[in-house]
Amino acid sequence: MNHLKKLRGQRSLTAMLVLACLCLTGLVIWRASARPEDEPKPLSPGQMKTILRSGVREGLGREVTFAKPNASAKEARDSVESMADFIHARSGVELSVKTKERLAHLEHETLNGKRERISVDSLVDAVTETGLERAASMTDQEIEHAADTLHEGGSNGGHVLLRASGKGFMKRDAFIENAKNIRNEIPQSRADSAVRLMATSVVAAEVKDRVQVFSDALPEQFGDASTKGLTPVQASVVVYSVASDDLLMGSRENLQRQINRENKELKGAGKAKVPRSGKAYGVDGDRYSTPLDLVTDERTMGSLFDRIDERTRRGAK
Amino acid sequence: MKTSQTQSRTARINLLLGLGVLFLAIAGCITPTCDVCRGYRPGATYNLTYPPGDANAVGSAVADSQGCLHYPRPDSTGNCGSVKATLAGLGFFFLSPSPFDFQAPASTITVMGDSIDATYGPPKVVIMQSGAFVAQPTVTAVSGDGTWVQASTPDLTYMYTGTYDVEVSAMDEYGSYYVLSYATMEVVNNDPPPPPDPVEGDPDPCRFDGRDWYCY
Repeated sequence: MNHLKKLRGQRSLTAMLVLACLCLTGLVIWRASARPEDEPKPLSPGQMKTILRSGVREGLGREVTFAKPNASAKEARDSVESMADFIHARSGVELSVKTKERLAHLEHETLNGKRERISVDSLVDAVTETGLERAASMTDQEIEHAADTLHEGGSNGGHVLLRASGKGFMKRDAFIENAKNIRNEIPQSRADSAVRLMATSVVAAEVKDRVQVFSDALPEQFGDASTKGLTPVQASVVVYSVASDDLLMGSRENLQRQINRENKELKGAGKAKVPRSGKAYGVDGDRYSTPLDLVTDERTMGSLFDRIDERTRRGAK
Repeated sequence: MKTSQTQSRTARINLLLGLGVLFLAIAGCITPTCDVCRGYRPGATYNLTYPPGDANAVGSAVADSQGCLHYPRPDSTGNCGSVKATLAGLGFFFLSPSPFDFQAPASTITVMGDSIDATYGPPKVVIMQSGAFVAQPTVTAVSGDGTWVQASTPDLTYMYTGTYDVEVSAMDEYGSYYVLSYATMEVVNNDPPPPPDPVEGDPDPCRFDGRDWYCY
């Protein structure tokens, strides 16, 4: 009887929470509907798609060489080198020799049919598990470093921004406190815990968005990603794109010109970003700063590749 | 049987509760956002102007792949409409066709961008390589909404396989041109001529300047 009463109480609370969520969502939509009239004319969905496609073709499409099926070991290595060079030019991240060798080996085996491609869902799982494992092992100094790196960049010094588009604006102190709480909670959390479900849902949305963008822009390389899966190099490109929040648009020269001009204009408006690395993304990125160094270290990349390795072995399913 | 159904229902309710509490906890520490999907240029940085002294003011944000910005709601007005988003910098411009095939050249090239203003005169399109002038195609059409400019295919005589910059400029009210942005042009299927035979005894006799070989 008591149990039933408790259950009824929980139901009412759930209903109230759902109602609160709906009210908040409604409020946000209502607020967003009022727009200033002097903003530039909006682009049509077709124009946005064209810009995105052209940009990704000019950036990722031109600057990364993807090896073809039955590629030689050298072709797989060259593909990894072109990807590492591309990432370095945009974010300053330097992949270790060991990481590149492992990736080249996995790529070569995949392109020669010795292992499966990784499905998008499996990649989501691998990235979520690796991310949670890394978050659980973060030291206090690393959390401080993440907060410093995610600095908002404008006049509002005491805040962090979790995504380049402006999502996740929060006080630096609140970020640090939450990160420490989550870190401590992860090791005890079950597979269906709220933290893990939330993390999976966020990673899935980001990974699927990028796969869709790259499939539209580069059908020759990513066209069958949703049905046949990704090669390890393609998967690494997606992971970098999500982690750095870089849409991989524009050649390095074009991107550098954009950054220089943006910095000049933002400085003129009193919104200069400091410090700046001179690269668009990654730690102190001029366009958007992320603690990319915490996730591209040899250990974390090794964990990610272990998971890709497990999930792509022939007969692993 | 009944017990396991009740247990699974309780587990589901607990999960919902957990997610709800987590949502509220995050909503408590993350400032509510203005999720504005108003056809912003994907991947472009926008300069955000908040009401003066607003505690939630963010300097800039990058439009996502859906053309949306998600900046924090201003605390002074609570109204997303009081934040102005303007394109910072040039915004990427792109060329079509890309790559440009020398063996099957298109009759026109189109540069896509925005704010390509033709109010005071037609825009100018110049092709350069490493800062040096290569060609100036004639502008044949500009879109009414300023999102593209079309030009005749340039003189291809000296455009070998490689990457070129396409500079797009607009005319101001005084008749002077100012640079709007750049697109990248990739030319394929036109390898440069081979170098002349080396002169005996000279280790580095010839130099290619992108157009011709010069031998000393």
